[in-house]
Amino acid sequence: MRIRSLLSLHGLFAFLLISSNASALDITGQSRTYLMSRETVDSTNLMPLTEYLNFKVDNSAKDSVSFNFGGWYRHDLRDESANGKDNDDLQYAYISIKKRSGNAVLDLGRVLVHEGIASEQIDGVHARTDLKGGFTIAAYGGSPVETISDTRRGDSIAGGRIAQGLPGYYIIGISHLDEKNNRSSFRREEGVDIWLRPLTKLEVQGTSSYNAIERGWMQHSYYVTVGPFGDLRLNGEFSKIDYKQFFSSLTVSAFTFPNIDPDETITTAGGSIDYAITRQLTAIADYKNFHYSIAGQANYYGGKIAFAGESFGMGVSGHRMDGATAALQYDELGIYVSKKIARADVSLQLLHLAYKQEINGVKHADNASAAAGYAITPKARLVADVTYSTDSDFTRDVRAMATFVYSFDAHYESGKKNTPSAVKKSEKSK
Amino acid sequence: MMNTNIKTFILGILALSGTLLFSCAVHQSTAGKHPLEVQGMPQCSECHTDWRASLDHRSDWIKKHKFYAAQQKQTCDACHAESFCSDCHANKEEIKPSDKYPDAPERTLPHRGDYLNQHKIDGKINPASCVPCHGRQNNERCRECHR
Repeated sequence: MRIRSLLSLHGLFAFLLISSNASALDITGQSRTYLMSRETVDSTNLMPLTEYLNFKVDNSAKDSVSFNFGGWYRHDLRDESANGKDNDDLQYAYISIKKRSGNAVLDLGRVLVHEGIASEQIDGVHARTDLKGGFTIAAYGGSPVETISDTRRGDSIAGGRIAQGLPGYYIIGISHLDEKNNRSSFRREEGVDIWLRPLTKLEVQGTSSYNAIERGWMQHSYYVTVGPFGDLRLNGEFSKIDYKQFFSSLTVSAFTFPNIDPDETITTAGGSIDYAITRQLTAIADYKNFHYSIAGQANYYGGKIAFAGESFGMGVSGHRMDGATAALQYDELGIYVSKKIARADVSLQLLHLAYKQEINGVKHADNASAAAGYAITPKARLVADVTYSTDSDFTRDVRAMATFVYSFDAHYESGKKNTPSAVKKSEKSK
Repeated sequence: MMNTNIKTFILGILALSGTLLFSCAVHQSTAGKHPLEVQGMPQCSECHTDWRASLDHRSDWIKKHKFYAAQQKQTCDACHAESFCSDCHANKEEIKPSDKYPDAPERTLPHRGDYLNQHKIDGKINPASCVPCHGRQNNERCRECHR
């Protein structure tokens, strides 16, 4: 509650700041309302009504000052969900000051930070800027957002990233993250991130992260794109994860030792071939090998053909997961069709999962869904969908959902009439 | 303790140096809003011939986007609102990404269909794949069963 109050005042301050100094304001945002109806395995009849709201208030000035907000609230109209009749989340709420040069940014509030190895939700500050010579510097600090019972007292997170690059050729960055829980060291990680394009048709990118507490490499993850050669494109991926290093700071029981083996390492290698048969028709074949130091290995392979026209779309995909034991094997097939007719659109999707080893006496799961959408206005859209499925938990499961999406934007200038924003950014949650 | 202090000192010096160099950064910032509205999976190379040509959103974009976001998120911000990322990456979520967009079956969205049973296999095959969305600590959805 205290955090929410602070953030409310923070938001109010931002509004006052922006409105007092600016002669023009742009407000853009989106409201998404979901009403779902479903029954759980224990026969609880749920009808959650969930509202997602996000918006941005921008002063449209030379050096932009904006307030950004995103969050959701859920209320159960029938039986109570497993985590209560009501639930909510403040995803982000921050003031952002952006300069017109150097990609310089200062964010204050509840921020989603993506810098090198860091992908964190924090209550604090984040700053970054480009410098001369192709350098970039970033820093962040504050309190990590934790939704599990933890007093947050003595919790802190801080880190930064330094990078150097030449646009179009390479970017190399090093980053650091230090998180304390109750003033004790909880995570300390260092990492390298690279992007290389030594040739026009060769792109290499990846990250490596190091656990500075346990003193070992957590993860190496790299991706290669080769091409295009006409309509053909080749992709390769490689990763290596050391379980003891990677899972040392996770708190959910499924990922704690010894539920997973701390001595295990997994190396994955694979790739895909992407062929554009026509401008609208694409065929993809992919393969991935999982090699474990202890458990053996697994292979995942398959393909997809997709057609994306202006008003019609269709796709067929099939994959096999071939794990070391029958319990880790399944085949998955998927088909979808979508059609746009004026302001309306319809889509159908079928999914079939066949398990090698039965689960609760059932060896397959089938899911069929149909959705219909209608653009009431260019900014307002209504979608209704129904899903029918059979699987190891339900002999027959029917779910329905209604979605209302409203995108809004407005431009305010002192002394002038309110108008839609001059530059329409696709307020994309899509 | 000594290592932490040295690292803090070095970071502080670098930050100060950065501040001094900041005034010399003359290049223009990436546009806060993409000047043209883009729909679907944009092929940036259709218009851009510089480094932005590598940002084509192809079928493997779901695997590649994390690398671009880690290095140059301001480029993502030109087209995507923050809510776009938090649909999958906000740690505390009750609605699956694929359920939020039932009218977009062409999108590569996680957990379509009966994922409750499928995740038992995928989670054993590659448990690390859960972390980017479900987070290290904020995983209430997981804790409903994994107490």
